[in-house]
Amino acid sequence: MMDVVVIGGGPSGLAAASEIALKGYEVMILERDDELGGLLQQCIHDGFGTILFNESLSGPEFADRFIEKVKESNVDIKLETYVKSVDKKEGCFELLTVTPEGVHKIKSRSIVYAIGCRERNRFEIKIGGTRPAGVYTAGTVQRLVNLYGVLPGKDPVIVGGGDVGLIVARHLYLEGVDSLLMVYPEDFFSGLPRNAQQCILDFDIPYRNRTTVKRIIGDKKIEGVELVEVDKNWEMIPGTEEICECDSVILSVGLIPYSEKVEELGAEIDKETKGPVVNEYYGTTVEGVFSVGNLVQIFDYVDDAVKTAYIVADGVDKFLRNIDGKRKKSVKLVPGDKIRTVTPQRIDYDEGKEVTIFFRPDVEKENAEVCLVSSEKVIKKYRKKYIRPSTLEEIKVPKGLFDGEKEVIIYVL
Amino acid sequence: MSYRKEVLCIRCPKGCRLRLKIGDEVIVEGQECKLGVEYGRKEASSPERVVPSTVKITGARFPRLPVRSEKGVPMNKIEEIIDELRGIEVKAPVKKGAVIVENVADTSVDIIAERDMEVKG
Repeated sequence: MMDVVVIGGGPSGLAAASEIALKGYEVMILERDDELGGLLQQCIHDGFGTILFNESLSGPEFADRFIEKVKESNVDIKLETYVKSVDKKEGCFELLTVTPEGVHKIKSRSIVYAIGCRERNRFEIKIGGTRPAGVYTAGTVQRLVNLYGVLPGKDPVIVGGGDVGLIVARHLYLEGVDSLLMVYPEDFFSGLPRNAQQCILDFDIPYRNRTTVKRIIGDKKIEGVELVEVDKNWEMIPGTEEICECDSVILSVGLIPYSEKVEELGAEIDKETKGPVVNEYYGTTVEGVFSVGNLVQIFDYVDDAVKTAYIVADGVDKFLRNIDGKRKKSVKLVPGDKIRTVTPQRIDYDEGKEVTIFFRPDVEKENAEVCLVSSEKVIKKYRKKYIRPSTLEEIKVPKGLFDGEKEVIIYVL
Repeated sequence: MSYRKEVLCIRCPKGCRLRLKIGDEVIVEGQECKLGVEYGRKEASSPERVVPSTVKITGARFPRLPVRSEKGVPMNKIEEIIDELRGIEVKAPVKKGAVIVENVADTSVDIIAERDMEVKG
């Protein structure tokens, strides 16, 4: 019987495993790939680690710091191991895993899910037309280009101005595609401003804002796309259609927490983040099941995702030692005006520690005032120099502030 | 005489908007950490970028090895660097941080491996 099984060997899973092992528990980490590191192994650009290490590392370099830590600890590492199902049994969880050697059962007292997110596809954003070869998601292209040296095409159109798309645009440009066009429905790129700057603007890569793809054209292979302008509600403007020839389409249209597995176990899912609802220790609504990293919500910086792994270690410790400090009723944290998401969504413990809250603004604003409100009374205010939807924000709530509260709304004034 | 310029710091994902006052010396405002001061000064005189790319590798789990310039290189050298990397081929095993190309495109900056790449059939 293990104390903890961590599912997922990306940065958050690695950090969670090594931190929990430091507390003296028997930890196993399961990874379906044949090496650790997760998505970071294909993120070869730099900019990772500026918060945690005050250095600008590449993805593989950042991952390696955590891989080393896990290897130095006594964490049991299982590669090429896919978790088929998890069953809640009397006092423990039973995992059914599939490996090249066969099917195995693993028992554990608790589980930390660190299985990250997936990319949205063309059908989720309702791109019409035929279904020819040549339609990729940006993450797939990143993997093809950076690990296999394969270009998706000679003249791709990138749909969506998200971070992965921006970074892939630069790789494709530098690796020598003939032509490249990025289109996105917003007024400005939805990815981080730094990526817009260093990936698109630095190289004068052509882009069109307020534009989307109406349909994909081509029988077996893509021949082109029909572009259309959109208004500020992203509604297509009739009469603005235009055919654009291309040999591939790359979708960078957002990431979604891969939460089906925890939902099957009975965990409550947040409609806004699309990840499981978690408490301040990243425990889900199922006792003994925890969730960290991009599974909780999409983080902009891996540094922040990893922070959740440090916090979960204390939560797992409390659970395994059977420490009961929970409130009679948890305090709910709710996104209010001009806020899209808030995590954690609930405060379960009563012991009074400082809590880090992440929120995603729904507005771009300078000198923004962020208010915590309970029963129509402002209980705390924060000032933020500059907020925008592309950047996840963080506030620290001092201990004791939530005492006696039932529901706290966070909004931007 | 001095003049003002606004640039967006790309040293970390925060993306601070820096206000530069460029005269005999460069005064940087709007940064949230010291990386911003460094970046603002550099951006005012000779903009630099870290260049990530890949080179061919044989005998490893992947046919490409991720590499990057060890530090920033002048922006106008980026394409020359990528061209030079196109002709490079290395053999596994490679250690993280190993120098793959010395003094790339005469920038006096080295290209280094971003990760270990062990031998794998």
